[in-house]
Amino acid sequence: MLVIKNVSKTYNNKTKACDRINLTIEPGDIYGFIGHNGAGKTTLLKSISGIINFEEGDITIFGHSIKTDAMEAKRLIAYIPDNPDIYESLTGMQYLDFICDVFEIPLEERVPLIDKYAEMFEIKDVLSNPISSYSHGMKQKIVIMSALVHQPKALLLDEPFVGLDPKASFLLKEVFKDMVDKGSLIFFSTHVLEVAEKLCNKVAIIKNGKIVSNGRTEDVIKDESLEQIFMELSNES
Amino acid sequence: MMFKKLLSVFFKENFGFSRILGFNAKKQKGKAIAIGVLLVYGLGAFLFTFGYLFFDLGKILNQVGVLDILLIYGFIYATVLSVMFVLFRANGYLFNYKDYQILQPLPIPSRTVISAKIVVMMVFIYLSVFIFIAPIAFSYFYHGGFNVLGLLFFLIGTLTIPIIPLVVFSFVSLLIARLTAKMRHTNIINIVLLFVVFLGIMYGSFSLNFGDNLNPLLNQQDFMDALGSIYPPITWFVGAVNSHNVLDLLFLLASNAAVLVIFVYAIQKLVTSTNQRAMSKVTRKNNKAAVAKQRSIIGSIAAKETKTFFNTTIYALNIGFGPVIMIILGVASIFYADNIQNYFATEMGLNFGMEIIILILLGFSLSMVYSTAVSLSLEGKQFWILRSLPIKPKTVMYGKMLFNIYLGLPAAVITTLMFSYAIKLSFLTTMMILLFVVSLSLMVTVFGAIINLYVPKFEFRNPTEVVKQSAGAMFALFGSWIILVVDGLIFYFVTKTMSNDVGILLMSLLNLLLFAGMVVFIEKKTESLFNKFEV
Repeated sequence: MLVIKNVSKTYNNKTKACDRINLTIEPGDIYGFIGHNGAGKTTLLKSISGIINFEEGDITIFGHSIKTDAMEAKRLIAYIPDNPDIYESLTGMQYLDFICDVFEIPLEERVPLIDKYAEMFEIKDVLSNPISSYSHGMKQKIVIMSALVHQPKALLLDEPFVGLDPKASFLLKEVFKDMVDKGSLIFFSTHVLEVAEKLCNKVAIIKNGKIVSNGRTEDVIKDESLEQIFMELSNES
Repeated sequence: MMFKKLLSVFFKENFGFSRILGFNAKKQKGKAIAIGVLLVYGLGAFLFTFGYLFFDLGKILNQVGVLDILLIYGFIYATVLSVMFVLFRANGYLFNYKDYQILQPLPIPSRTVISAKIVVMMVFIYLSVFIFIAPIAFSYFYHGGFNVLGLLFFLIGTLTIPIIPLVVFSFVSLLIARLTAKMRHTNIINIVLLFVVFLGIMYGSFSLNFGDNLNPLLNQQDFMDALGSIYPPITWFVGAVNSHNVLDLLFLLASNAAVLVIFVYAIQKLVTSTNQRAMSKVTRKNNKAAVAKQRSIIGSIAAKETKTFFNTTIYALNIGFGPVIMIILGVASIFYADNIQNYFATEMGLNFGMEIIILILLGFSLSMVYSTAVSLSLEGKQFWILRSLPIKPKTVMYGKMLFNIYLGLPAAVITTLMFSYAIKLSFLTTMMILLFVVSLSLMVTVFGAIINLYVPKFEFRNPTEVVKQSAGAMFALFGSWIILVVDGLIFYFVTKTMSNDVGILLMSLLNLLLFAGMVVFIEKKTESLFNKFEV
């Protein structure tokens, strides 16, 4: 379970990017995180994954605090950023090896997993090429693969469908479903409201650093569409 | 009008304080002051040592009536600096600039963009050229007598020096990039070619001192005269400054202006085509199956560092210079063992025993292997990877340190053994020097890591900003030199009453003591420093 408790994060002692956020994401959840640009989505995702610090509150991942027990917490998560900035001097395979080494995945386990995902995302033929030669979509696929090869219990994604071709998007959604069936949880930000509406069993809407609505998707949208709800909440002062 | 606007944007982009420092000076005043002090110290140390050498040289040249050789020295230094800058940066500034996608769709003529890019590049070149030749100019005007017209002609003439190297070596840089683009190990071939160019320049400048004449000054004069007849701008420059010859100055200005204008017009299509080529790369499918390989975490980080090193030309050239020069010196010692001591005594005024010369050479070469002082910064936009993974920050630093030791220590050990063989050092002395290089390599490595933890620079557009221009690089280099000076003082005082071997042993013990202290620091402080980084 991913528990976000009273988390606040301020930039430059002025701008409150996250303001006392409380959310609980349970195993089996595909949790969509929606908000306008600059609402605080990326800040929260980066806080959960230990990339940035936050002043108040705590985040626990299956009982491990990202503040006080960061190594154990990080062993259980994978984070996929919105922009696939990865080591361009490595080949795709070298990057995957690096991630597997960090998670201490033995060769006999990593090889079939890399094969499976490389074939699924159709990048097997370029794994021995340097990442610098990849297109944006290919880099995104490598980052996704690097997150999947260590079979995380919590998958955190920032705008995961940006830059992916329709087939890869479809496959990623299938992977999501497969992972939650096995007891993992998925928490991702998106601007594509249709995807959130169809894919997520739960959603949270963030505005100016505060959660303005969250819960089961059908409870949040009721008889309207997610787009209508989002626009209504965005227009409220 | 458009040119001015473009130039103003480029200047803000390239010369802003926070851009150069890597942090906001207003918010981190203490850090800014420390870096300011360091800059003043570095500049002062450079001007003093370089100035001292040229002041002395000027005095001798003046006595034999050939003070104008000093101007040729200045001209050659300015040219070499320009060549080096252009070889490193022309590709990024002209042929493969990152804001091409922003600028190309705008209704701005190509030549306006190119001219503005060239001006920015020239400002960088002028900054280094004027710092380097200031001591030469001082020596020239001090010994030859100061006059305003001479200084004015000198300044105007110096502004023209980098233009022809810019034009010629822009093409050389592009040619190397194009020739190697389709090869398998493009970057490594690029690095080797650039090393060949630099070592060739170094060899050329050293060979000034070895000629048929017994007096090295006469050799230099012959060489300078020959150079002047091949490359007329040298003669015009010397004529303008030395004899206040207006015609020579006009020749210099007109020829360079013509070359520059032709260059700007001629490369328009080339700039567009190379930038477009960079945009339209296609990922080739590879028949070679990628093979997974398992390593320890530290080994994996060190392997990643190795890859980054060989794929970042400026990184490899700067940090790899120490090991390369050590090996070259080691090999040279086998062939020129008898001349080394004499060379250092006559050319550098270092009238020391061979052991001390070896220690100085190894010490300075190892201090240049400071990858740990910049490698954390070089993570740049990829730093999120290390932050989100379950790797202890100190493990990251140990991985980076391991790479630095791999890079410098084997070359130092091999060189020591070659020196030992060439000049027949005793077994004990060889062992002591080996202990010294091991201790120094360890100490410099961990020192660099601490520096980078305190002054990281994650925001950069080109690795050169980190490897050559960052506070981390400067602190590491100058800091290591200060420690080397302390080592030298220990050696100096100890060997007054004891043998050199004891002196080397005590220097090594100091290095090991510093190393141990700094490792304790890494163990205790790395995590909290890591957590402070905002990325």
